[in-house]
Amino acid sequence: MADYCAHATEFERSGVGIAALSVDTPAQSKALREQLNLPFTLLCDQGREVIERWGLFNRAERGGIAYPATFLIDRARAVRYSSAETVASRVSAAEMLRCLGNVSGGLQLAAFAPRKSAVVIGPLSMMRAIGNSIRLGGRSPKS
Amino acid sequence: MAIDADKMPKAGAIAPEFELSDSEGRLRRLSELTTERPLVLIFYRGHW
Repeated sequence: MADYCAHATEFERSGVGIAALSVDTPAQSKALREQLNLPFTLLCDQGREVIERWGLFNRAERGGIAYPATFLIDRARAVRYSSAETVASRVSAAEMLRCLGNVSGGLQLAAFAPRKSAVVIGPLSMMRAIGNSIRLGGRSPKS
Repeated sequence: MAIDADKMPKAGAIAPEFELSDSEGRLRRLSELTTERPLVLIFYRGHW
């Protein structure tokens, strides 16, 4: 969270919004938002309905919380990248931004052309996902 | 207990719509948050 907060301006510049979801109450979320000066939306899933539906309900801890997870969702609400962890960690903001940088620079994009045989989920997959999301998220001027 | 991989939205799937309160008490829909630009949605552990 703090990691993504520290890079919020760069996400903004990349034309990507950020929202963060937990089971905290609005009051707890508001306090956290102010404490960390978070510039993005905090969503409150107190009923655990969303984390249950998304398969991210960790019932073993503190009355049920979310597993740390990160999704890239495009304007058609299609998931372009997803990553979840069973421990308190997530793909770093720097890694995500490095991928965005690679995508926006055409030369690097060619160098990172998708490999059809790739099965390992890693930075390349994420970069490709973000690139697709940005390209597909915008409307074609001809349609 | 573990992540339910069958339920977790995968790349290519449509993210399930939801409506939740934000920290200011306003109801927000996922579809609204993705209307104008792509969204990085973070699930975090919350208050310790």
